Amino acid sequence: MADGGASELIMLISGLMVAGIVTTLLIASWGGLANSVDTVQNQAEANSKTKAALASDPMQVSWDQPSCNLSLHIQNTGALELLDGAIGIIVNGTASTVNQTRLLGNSSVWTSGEVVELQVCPSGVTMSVGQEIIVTVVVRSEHYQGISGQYSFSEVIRLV
Amino acid sequence: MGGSVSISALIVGTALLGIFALASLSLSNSALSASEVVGGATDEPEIRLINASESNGVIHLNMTNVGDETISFDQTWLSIDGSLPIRASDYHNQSTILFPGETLHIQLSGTGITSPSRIFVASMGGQSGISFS
Repeated sequence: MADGGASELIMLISGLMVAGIVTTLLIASWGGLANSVDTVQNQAEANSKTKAALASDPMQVSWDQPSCNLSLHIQNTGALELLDGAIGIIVNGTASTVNQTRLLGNSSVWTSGEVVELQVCPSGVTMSVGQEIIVTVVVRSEHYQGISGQYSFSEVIRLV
Repeated sequence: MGGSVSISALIVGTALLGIFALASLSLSNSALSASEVVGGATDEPEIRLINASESNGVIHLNMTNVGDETISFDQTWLSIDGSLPIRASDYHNQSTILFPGETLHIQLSGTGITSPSRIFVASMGGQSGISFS
């Protein structure tokens, strides 16, 4: 009986130890999973609040080949402030340089509803007046819960 | 001794079930928040220019909100003949909002543009353009 009691005690302690180890592992892995879900959720939330759209007339976009200057106007249509120093422009598949940005309407920050003017140079691309091209714009928001939102859109424009 | 083993196993099992329940609740809340994020995305306004004319430097414009979102003239930008966009509320101060289904006649004065041929409006993703008659 004493031997039986000792073996049952050993089994109990072993069972408790195994349960403890399993519980620790589960909690640790679940914590990692929860963090990943939170990060993805914050990123999705930041992205959903980051939007922009073309404010220029897509039928009449100014282009000057000699000075390599394409004038675009982009409106912040999202909820977060956008960074006017972090804009990416792709013209007909070619990454372009943003030479100058300027906020319109006496604004100092690119908040929702405000428009920024861009002077873009698609280096090495030859385009002519009347040509229709595809412009892709990529914008980035300020940090929201430690994460920056991103948004991109493409428009067909006609050069004048 | 056998009884204490069963009780201990019961305690451990209950504790594990409790942990799983809390973890499931946490994950469920996260999924719910994520779905709220997706569902909370705002729709773009739908704006239509009905007609446009110019007389003595004053631009007359009829526009309709054909969507479900209100349109603020503070966030509405007009571009005439491809020129620099101007904020609608800077030139029109009789009303500030275009409600869904509403058509407003807007007069823009002081733009400095004469004999225009086309006007384009952009507001929070909604766009419309029309030729002057």
